[in-house]
Amino acid sequence: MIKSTNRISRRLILRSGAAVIGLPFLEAMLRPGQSFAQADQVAQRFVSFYTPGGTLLEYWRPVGTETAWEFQKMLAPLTPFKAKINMIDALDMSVAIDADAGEGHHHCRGSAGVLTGHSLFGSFADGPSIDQLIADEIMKVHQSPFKSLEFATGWGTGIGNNAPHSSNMINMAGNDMPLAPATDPLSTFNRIFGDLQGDMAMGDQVAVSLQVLDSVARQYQSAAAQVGYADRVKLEQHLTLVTEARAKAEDIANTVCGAPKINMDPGFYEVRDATKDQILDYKGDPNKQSDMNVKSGDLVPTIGDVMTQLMVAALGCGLTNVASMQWGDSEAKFLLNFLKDEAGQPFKDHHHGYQHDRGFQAGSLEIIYNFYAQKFADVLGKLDAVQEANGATLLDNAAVLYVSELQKPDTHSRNDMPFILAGTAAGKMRSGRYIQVPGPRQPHNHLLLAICQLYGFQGTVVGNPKYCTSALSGLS
Amino acid sequence: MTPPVYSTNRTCSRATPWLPLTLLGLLGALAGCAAEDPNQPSVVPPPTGTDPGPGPIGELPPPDTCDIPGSPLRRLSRFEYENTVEHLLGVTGNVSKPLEADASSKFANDSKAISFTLKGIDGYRAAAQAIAKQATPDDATSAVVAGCATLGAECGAPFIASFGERAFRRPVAEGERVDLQALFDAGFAAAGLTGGVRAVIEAALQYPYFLYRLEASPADAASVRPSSWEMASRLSYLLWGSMPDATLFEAARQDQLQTPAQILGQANRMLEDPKARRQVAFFHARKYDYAKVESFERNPVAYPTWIPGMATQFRQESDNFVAHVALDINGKFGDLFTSKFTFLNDPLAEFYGLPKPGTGAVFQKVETDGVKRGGLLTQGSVLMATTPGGRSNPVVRGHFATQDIFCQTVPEPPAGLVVTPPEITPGVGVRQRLNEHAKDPGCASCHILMDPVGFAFEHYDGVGLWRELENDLPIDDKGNIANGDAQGEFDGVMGLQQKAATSKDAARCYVQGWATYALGRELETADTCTQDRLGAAFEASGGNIKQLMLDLTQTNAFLMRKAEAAPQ
Repeated sequence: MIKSTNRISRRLILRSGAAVIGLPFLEAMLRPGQSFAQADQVAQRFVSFYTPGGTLLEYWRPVGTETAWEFQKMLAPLTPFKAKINMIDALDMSVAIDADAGEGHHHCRGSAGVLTGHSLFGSFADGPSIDQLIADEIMKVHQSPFKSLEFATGWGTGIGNNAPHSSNMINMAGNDMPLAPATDPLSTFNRIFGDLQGDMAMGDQVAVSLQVLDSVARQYQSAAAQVGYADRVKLEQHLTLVTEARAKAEDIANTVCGAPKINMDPGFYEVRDATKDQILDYKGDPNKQSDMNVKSGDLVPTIGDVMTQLMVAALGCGLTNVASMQWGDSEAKFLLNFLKDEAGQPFKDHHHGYQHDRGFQAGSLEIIYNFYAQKFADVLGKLDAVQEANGATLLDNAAVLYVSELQKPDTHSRNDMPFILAGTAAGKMRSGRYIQVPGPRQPHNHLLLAICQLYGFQGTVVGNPKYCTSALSGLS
Repeated sequence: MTPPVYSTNRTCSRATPWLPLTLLGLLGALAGCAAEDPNQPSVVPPPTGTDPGPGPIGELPPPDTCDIPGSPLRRLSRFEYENTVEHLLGVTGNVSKPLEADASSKFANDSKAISFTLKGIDGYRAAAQAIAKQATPDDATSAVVAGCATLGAECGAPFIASFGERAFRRPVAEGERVDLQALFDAGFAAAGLTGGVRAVIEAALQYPYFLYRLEASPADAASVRPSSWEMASRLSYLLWGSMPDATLFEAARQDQLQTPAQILGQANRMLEDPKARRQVAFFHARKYDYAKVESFERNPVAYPTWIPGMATQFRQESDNFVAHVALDINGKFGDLFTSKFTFLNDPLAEFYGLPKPGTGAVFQKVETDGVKRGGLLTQGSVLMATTPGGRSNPVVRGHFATQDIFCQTVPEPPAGLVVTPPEITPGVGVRQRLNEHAKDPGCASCHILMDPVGFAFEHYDGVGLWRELENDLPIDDKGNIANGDAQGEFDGVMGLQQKAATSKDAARCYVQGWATYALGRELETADTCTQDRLGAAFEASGGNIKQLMLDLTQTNAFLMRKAEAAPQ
C-alpha cells in the first residue's frame, strides 16, 4: 500500500477538523470542511511544459540586466509572474548538435535530448528524462499514487501519427522507454479522479470497486497457481500491478480533494469529425510530403485547457508531484485556425508551415509564440492560485521548466536554447532573474543537473556524460 | 529555406547487402524438418499439374505430427476484446479505448510481446467500469441482463453462473462464484439489482479467465490435448476473433471438441457464421497493411475531389470484397488479385467515377473492367494506405508489394540517413525524380527491390483515382520484380496482380500470415514444418482460402498444447 504523507486522509480530517484553505481555482475541488496537507507535509513538485519549434530569440530575450529586466511584447503574458521566473539564456543543446552524439532529424534529436540530456540512437532517447529522476527523489520523501503524469494536446501529428515516435517523445522512463502523454480528457480524468467521485455515482460504489480489485487480485493469485510456469510468470506480473492499482485506488479515494469539474460529454472531445470538416479549409502545399497527417486544430485549445486543469488539480491534490504538459510535438502539424493573423484573419496553416515549410514567417510566428506564452502563463497562474499549507503557493513549491526541442524555427539551430524556469522548488531556487549564462559556452545538461540537485539528486551526471561535466551554478 | 524532410525508415542501406531469400525460403533452407526429425513426415511435394481446383470442404487432412515450439499465454487483443464484449453483453462502440495499445506486431496479437504496465491495468479497470455501466442503464435492463424476472437479490446466483460461464468461457469455479456473489451482494446493498449486476460485470471483465486465454498445462513439457472448453475458445478466437457461441459451449459441455473431426465439423459451421467475415476482413486489412487507412486524411488542394470520410468507404469495400472471396464463393488466393468485381455503394462509385449501383449507402457487388479496377490492389484502401504523403510514392508502394505480398526482406535503411525528397519540377517525371536511387550504388542495391515495382502503381493517385498523367507527363507503368518466382517485367497493377495470383512465393507469404495470426506469435524455425504442411495443402487446393482456414484447425499447433517448462 502506498502511504501518502502529502495530504490528509478523510479519517485524519475527521479527527483534526482542519480548516479550509482554498483559493478560487481549487475551492471547487475541495470537499467541505477539508484541507490540504500540513506545512511539513508539502512536497516539492516539478512540471515540464513543452511547445514546438523553438522561439524567436530576438523577441524572447528580455531587455535589461539580471535583476532589472522586462519581457518584450511576445512574452508579455508572463509579466504577472515575472518575480517567479528565471529566463535562462544561451545554453547549447550539444547532445543534439554534435554529429557523433546521436542520429536522426534535428527535431527528433532535440525532442529526445531536451529533457533527458541523452543522445538519440535508435527509436528513442538513450536514458530517462529529468522529470523521472526528480520523481524518484520526491517519492523517497513524499509518495503519491502516480509517480508522474504526462498530458498533451495536439500531440502525435505528422510522422508520429498518434503513436510514440522520436519526433514527439520528451518524457522518458529510461533508455528506449517513452512515457507517452495522455491525450484523451475523459479517460485521463477517469484514470486520475475516477476513484474520487465513484465512477458509478452511487454512494458506496467506490468501496464496491475496491472490493472488486481485491477479488480480481485473488483470482489472479488462484489462476497463477493452476497454470504452467511460463504463464504463471505473466499472471504474477499482472497480479503485482493489480495490487498496485488497488493501493492507488484507495489512496485516491482517501484524498481530500474532489474531482475538478470538466465537460464530461463523451462527444465533446471527439476530434475525428472536426478534422474532416476543418481539413477542407486547409490550403497547404499539395506537393509536400511534410503535409501528411495534418490534424485539425479545432479542439487543441479546449483539450489543452482541460488537460492543464487536470494537471494542476492532480498536483494540488498530491495525486502526483511530477507532471508534464505538451502542446503539440516537434512536427507541430495541427492547424492553427483558432489563432488570428496580423490582418485579423484565421491562420490557414500549421506551425511548421510558418517555420519553414512555406517559408519563414516571423510575423505569424510571433503570434504563435505569444499564444504559447499565454498557455504557459495559464499554467503558472493556476499553480500560483493554489495556496499550500506551508504558506507558499503550489507554484512556489514547484519548479516549472519551459522547453522546446530547438531554438530557431527555420534553421533548427539548437544553440542558445530558450529555457524558462519558474517557481522556487520550495525555496530552493532564487527566481525573478534574467540569467545570461557566462562563457565559455555550456551544454544544457548542466541546467538539467542543477534542476535535479534542487530535489536532492546526488548524482553528478544527467544525460550523456560527455556533456555533463558540472552543474549550472547560481540557481540556488 | 527548406530544411530536409526527414525519413529514418524508407531509405536505402549502404551497409547491409540484400538477402535474396524470403523468410520462408530461409527457414526452409535451414530447417527441413523431415531431414532433422525422423518422427516428422516428409514435406508433401507440390503437385506438378496446374490448378487442381478446391477439394471438398471439410475433408480431414492426414494427421499432423509437426513439433510445436510453444504455446505462450494469449491475452485478448483490442479487436478481440471489442468483439467479445459485443457478443457477451451486446455493448458496442470503441469499448477498448481505455486499454493500452496492442503489442506492435503485424496482427496486434503477438503473445510474446504483451506488455504489463500500471496504465494498462488501469485501462482494464476503466473499460470494465464503463462497459458495466453501459450494459445496465437502469434496473429494467439489468433484469434483462441478469435473466431474472424480479429485481431481487435472488437474481444474483443464477446470473453469476450463466454470465460467468460465458465470460470465462468455461463453468464458473467455486472460488469465483463465492467472490462474485459477495460482490453482487455488496453492489446490491449499495444500489439494488443494477449495483449488483454492475459489480459482477466490472469484476468478471478483469478476471484472468476473461482477459487471458488460460489453458491448463501438464506438469512436464509434453504436449496435451486442450479440454473441450479450451478448444471452444481456440476455435472461436481463430475463426471469429471472439468468444464461443452457444453451440460451441454446448459441444464443450458434452466434451465433443476432442477429435480432429469434431473440431473440423465445428469449424465448417463457424465459417458460415457472419462473425467469420469480420475476422477475414481484419486479417486481410492487417496482412496487406490497409487497416491504417481510416486514420488517413487528404489535402484538398492535391486531391480536389477528395471527400473526408471516404477512407472508411474504402475499408468497407475491401472488407466486403475479401469476405466475399474467402467465404461466399469458395474463392482462391489468386481471386484476391484477379477478380473482376468489387463492392461499391453510391458515394464510393461516384468518387471512383464508376456507375452508381443505386443502393445508396449499401454496398453492392458490381462487375469491374479488369483494366482499371479489379482485385485488391486497385482498391482505394491499398492505394491510399501506400501513399503516406501528398503525392503517390513508388518507393512506399514498392516496399509494400515486396514485403507484404511476396514476403521479401527489404533491409532497413542506414541509421540516421536524412533524405531530401526531390523537388517537383515541370517536365520531370517520377522515374527521373527517383533516378538518384538508381545512380547511387548504395541506394540502388535496395531500391531496385522497391522502385521498379512501385512505378507500376503510377496510374493511381494517392486517393486511388485513375489518372492518365503524372506531373503533366504520360505515365509509364511498366514494372519489374527483381527476385523470387515472380521475377521479371510486367505491365501496371494488373500485371503485378497476375504475378501475385500465380506466384508460389506470394501464396506462401499469405499462408505465413495466416499461420502467424493463428498462432499469435512470430513464427520460429520450428514452425517451418507447420508452415510447409499448410503451404502444401494450400497449393494442392489451388489456394482455397476457406480450406486454409479449416486446415489451420487441423495443425498440431492448434490441436495440441505444449507447456513451457520451468527454467532449470
